[in-house]
Amino acid sequence: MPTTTATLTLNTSEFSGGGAISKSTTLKKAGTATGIDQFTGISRVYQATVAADLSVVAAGSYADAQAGKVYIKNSTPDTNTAYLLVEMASNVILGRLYPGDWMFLPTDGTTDIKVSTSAANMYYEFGVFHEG
Amino acid sequence: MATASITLTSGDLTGDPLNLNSTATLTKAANTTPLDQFTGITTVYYPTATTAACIALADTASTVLGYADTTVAHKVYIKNASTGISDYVNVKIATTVVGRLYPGDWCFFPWDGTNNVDIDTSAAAMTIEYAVLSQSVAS
Repeated sequence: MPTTTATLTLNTSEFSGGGAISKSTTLKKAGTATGIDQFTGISRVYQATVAADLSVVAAGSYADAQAGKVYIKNSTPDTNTAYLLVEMASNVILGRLYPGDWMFLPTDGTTDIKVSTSAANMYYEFGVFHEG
Repeated sequence: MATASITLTSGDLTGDPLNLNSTATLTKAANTTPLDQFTGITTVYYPTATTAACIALADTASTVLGYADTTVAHKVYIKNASTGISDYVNVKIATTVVGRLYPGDWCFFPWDGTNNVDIDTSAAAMTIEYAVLSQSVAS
């Protein structure tokens, strides 16, 4: 089975008691020691106009109760104001990804994940690790 | 300034090796000023299975301690620090289940402060780590 590793390095040294932490996990199927074996690849999308509810994870395409993971990044250059609004299901707002921001989130295959662009000429990237 | 980096690697998931690196500088919404609040890395032990344990309390839901909302670039980190392979954490935004973190799994995501971030633990004797990096005032 494939071995896929996700590592977070969080540097908070300017805060009292902060420092650099590193957390690694090997992506496994739900409740097993078997590696996740399906991946969409990293898609890069150019969105020429402001658009709402662009699908990143369509829950109906995946089995439920899985240990999938989704990566999304706002890769829009030359601005710090154009954000991606990340929403779950029926427009339950999670948060905003400003240029350069990324996220790594579990997805269990029951909830749609969508993004909306706040400006024209935005780029974003995403990839889904899943169990089918 | 605080930074968050992700590395995704695999030599055998696809036909070509996966090697993705990305670093975000953690700034306030729509500007270059650093986020100015941090909870620290919090470790919580849940002796029993728990539903809707609050990780980050939305501004509108709080009369005591809440976060600025909407035009913000808060970030949330959660890790299932339990051992074994089967005990999972449901990560929820408001009442919507986003996904499951199995032992060792972590997540890092933006949060705009308008909905609570909660977790459910699936079993007794689970340990969770979390942190919130936030801005004190909306941009």
